[in-house]
Amino acid sequence: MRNNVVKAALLCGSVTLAAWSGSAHAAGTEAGTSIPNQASVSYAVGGTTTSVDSNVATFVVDKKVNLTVTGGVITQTAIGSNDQVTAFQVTNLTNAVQDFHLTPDQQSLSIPIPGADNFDVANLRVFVDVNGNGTYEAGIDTATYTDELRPDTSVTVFLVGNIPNVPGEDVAIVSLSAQAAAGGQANTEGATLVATSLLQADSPSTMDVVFADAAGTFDLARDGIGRAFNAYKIGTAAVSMTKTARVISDPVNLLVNPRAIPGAVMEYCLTVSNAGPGVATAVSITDRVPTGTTYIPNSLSVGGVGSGGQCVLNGTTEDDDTTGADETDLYGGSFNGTTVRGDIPTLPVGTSLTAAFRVTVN
Amino acid sequence: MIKVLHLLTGGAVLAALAPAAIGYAAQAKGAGVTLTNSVLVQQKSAASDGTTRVTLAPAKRVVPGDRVVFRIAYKNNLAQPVTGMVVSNPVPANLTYRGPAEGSPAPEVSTDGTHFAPLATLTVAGRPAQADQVRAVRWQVRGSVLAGGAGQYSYEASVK
Repeated sequence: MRNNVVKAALLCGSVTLAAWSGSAHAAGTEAGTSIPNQASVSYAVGGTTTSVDSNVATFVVDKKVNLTVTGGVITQTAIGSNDQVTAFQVTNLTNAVQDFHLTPDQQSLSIPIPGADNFDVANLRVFVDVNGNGTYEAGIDTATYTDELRPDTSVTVFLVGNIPNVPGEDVAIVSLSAQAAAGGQANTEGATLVATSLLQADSPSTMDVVFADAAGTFDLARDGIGRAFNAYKIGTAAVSMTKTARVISDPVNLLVNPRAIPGAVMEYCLTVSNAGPGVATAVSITDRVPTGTTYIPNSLSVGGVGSGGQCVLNGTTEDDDTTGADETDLYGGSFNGTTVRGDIPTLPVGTSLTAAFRVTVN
Repeated sequence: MIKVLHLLTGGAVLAALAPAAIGYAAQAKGAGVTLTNSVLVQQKSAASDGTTRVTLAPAKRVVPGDRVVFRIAYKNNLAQPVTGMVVSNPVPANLTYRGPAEGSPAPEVSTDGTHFAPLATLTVAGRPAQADQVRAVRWQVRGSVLAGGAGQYSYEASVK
């Protein structure tokens, strides 16, 4: 947090300027500061030297309202999820402490990188990150307006919304607008600031309000309002599966060119592939054991690597139940008497993993 | 018997800039040498011949980043000429000296309040002095100012 402007020691027009650091804060001298100036003249007449002071010329520094709202964040999310959070920064560049009204909006426009808006987030709410930790905490971050934000200081503001369960839609663009409001009373949302009318005669001793904010997208200049945009993006993953079978051994030929005769051991290989663009999570492969075969207990292995559809390198061995350490050693799996099941928690983009199990031909 | 009158200078804070000697001259209010200080802002307007005219108007709606002009006008109301006139002004806090105003001669400046010289010749800790290090300005009037003579100096400063 940058420091507020120190005004107390600097009001007299003296040469003791050491207290003023001269650093270039964007907000500048605090609004309402009175700046007096007195000059002096010395001269000689008739051999004697005299000094005379001028009057004191004074003016008051007016309030220059300026702010920025920063966004440009793409929040990855999934359909049907609630309370999805996207964050903005509101910065007060006014030379005075201000409140800010906060307004969230759905936008139906197109922005480079996220793309065109094609769905609306439901129940869009705005909350201020009051404890400044960058994480939305439902019980703590409950303020819906920015209170007493000091000059050259930023605060994080969250937009929270629910993603509807409509497959095929993937981009929702939302905006946050912040409007300058009067500061001075903590825990009270101040009145919207109004610029002093140009028709009103200026008095050197009163403080006027001047709007100096820049323009942006859907944001006029010099109106005390700033706006930024973020996007929610639903990541999808295209997952496909192939299945192959091969004979491992038979009672007659053993391991040499075995045939699928009664008593032969066969291996089924199931390969799942994720073509992206999103990471696939909680991938579950299931396959019924074919009729005419008997599942070999504890023959299941999940998360292996295959080649040409065949399982080559086995993954983690799974026992037939749904409990135990084998369920969480990277991958899980089970057999319930009729159906084999393999569980892969995360399948990254462009990868393939296998599940293999063995049966004997009846 | 000569009555000796001691004149007290006002603004003790500014004493460091003015010569320390106190003179005998008794000065009635409004007589003697007067100094008038005003704070103004530049207003640019297009003149009929296509050039831009700059006029000075009383300062209003001054916000950080704006420039103001201080105009200091002197007038000799005495019946005799005065010599060695020096007009001085400390740069107020919260303002940064920017240079002489249009039409005014450049002042001598000081970064420590005591030593004055043109800005181009000043150094601070071995480096050339910058405008934002200037803490006071002064103009020395050459020769004498005749009875009834007047003049003015102006400089620009920007609000921090």
